[in-house]
Amino acid sequence: MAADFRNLVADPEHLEIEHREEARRAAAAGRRQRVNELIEHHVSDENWRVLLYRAREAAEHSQNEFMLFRFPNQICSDGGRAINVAGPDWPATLRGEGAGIYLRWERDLRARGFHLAARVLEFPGGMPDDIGLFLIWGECGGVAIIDLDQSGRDGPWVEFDPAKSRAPAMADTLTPRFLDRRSIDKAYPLVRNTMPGMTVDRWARFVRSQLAARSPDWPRGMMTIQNAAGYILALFAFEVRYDLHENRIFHMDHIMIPNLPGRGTIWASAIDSAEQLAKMNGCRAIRAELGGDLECSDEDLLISLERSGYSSAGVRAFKRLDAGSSSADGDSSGTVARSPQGIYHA
Amino acid sequence: MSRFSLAARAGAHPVHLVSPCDTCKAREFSACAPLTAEEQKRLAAIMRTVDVEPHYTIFNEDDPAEFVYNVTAGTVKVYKLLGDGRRQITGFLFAGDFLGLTHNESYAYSAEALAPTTLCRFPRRKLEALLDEMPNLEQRLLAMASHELAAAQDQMVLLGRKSARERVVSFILMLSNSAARHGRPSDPVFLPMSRSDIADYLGLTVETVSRTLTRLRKQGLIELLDEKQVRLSKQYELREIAEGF
Repeated sequence: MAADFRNLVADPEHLEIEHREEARRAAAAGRRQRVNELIEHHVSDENWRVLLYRAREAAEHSQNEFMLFRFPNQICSDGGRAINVAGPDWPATLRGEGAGIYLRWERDLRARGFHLAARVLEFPGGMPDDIGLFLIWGECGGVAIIDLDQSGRDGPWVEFDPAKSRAPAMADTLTPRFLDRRSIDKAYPLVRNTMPGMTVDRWARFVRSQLAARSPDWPRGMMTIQNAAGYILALFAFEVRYDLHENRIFHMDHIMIPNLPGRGTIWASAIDSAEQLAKMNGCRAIRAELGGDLECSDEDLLISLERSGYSSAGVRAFKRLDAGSSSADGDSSGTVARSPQGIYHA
Repeated sequence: MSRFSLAARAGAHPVHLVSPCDTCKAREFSACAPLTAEEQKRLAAIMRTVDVEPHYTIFNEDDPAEFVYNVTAGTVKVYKLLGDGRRQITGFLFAGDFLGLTHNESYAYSAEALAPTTLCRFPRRKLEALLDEMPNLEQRLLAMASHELAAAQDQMVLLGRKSARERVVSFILMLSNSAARHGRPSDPVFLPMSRSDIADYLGLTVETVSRTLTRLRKQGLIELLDEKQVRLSKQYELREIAEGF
């Protein structure tokens, strides 16, 4: 009896599964056909002109990039794997129309400073699906852009900013995310890694004060850089401040980046996300504060900042005030940190 | 077979020196997986393979951090000694994980093999120099590597769970997920560590861990195949427990 009832429930479910299966098969067949067509097909002069015309239109509408071509990942000889991991040999995996567009770009546009980027557009079920080829002319500010021109020998864009051509290459695995209250504990091992001896209570107190409600016009908070598995690889505190010279200025400090392979890439991604956040908040400048939380030996971070267009600005002074002694002359125990551990400014 | 055909074969398949990487079982799931032949060769040139017995201390907290390791077989536990002499296990690392990455000149914790373990050992300075030279390699290592920092973050998430039952179930599921990520069977779950190691890691007593496992077994949620293997009999219910339902 109960089994009959169960059958009544199971039957429509079964039908639906079959329907879905059928739709999936039809879609797969359609996709296969499109892949075969695209592998056979090559871009014509006429099509190329149309694409460039549309790209120009996009630029007139203040866009920094234009998607030239969207195609199923099976067009790539490796199913899009090289593009997904930003492997340097990605162009070799393109076939048919994709390869045609790459060659056109290389012949006509590359020397004029245009960049070509490929991105996996969707990951249904975690697997790479459709891929887009993008023509880029603006400054690469987006964290989600994979710069595929890794040779970087020509083009003013790469000369302008070598660090950035590395950061976007990891974009598919490094994601900036705000630190929320639930992740305070999770971030603690990173804090302990960069500041041995820091207790979880002190850390939690600091984050809570940093996340405390404030005017939405003057946001502050904590930003993390996470990898695909959701582990926190870096973090920094930020605050939009009112500045006499710059009006709105984006201030970042408490920068914590552990010594992992790829540290430079993680840092570049953090710089990138700070820049995006600053732009989104209408800031005209960024002030990054190093030192204090970073080891003095962190030359690589300073170099990376300079490569991203930052320069040393101002001097940071520090004096610890002992609770007991109240010395008024104050010039004895204060220390002045000068560049390159000073405040960096972009 | 004529000499000519032999020569042709040799030409088609040039003889390689056998590198430990060629036979490495962890390679597919570790940081080295996406490396090109050239990158792998450069890495192998500065690397030494080390086999260690269970309970062997790979390094101690505060030792100078001279080496970075990639676990290619076995299990390693990392722990800190607390001021009062107690030991806090902060993570377990498996084949494919990195070990010994530190911000400072010395290791921030100790590492001990739990089972017969194989490690690829890289001199830290040489590895850093190589990564500077090959930014692509650096990016690939970063994209693939899981490491003690990640293991410690897993632990913080586990410690955020309230009851012993939630913690133990979450721990077993975490090991199951991690096994799947590293290309090992996710069910039954392999628990290479002792009950007291689990207790140390989860901030529970050994008795509580044992009692909790027994209760889960009696409720038919898990099956204890032997000391070190757990079958997830009711995955859905276990996930609900882990989520705190």
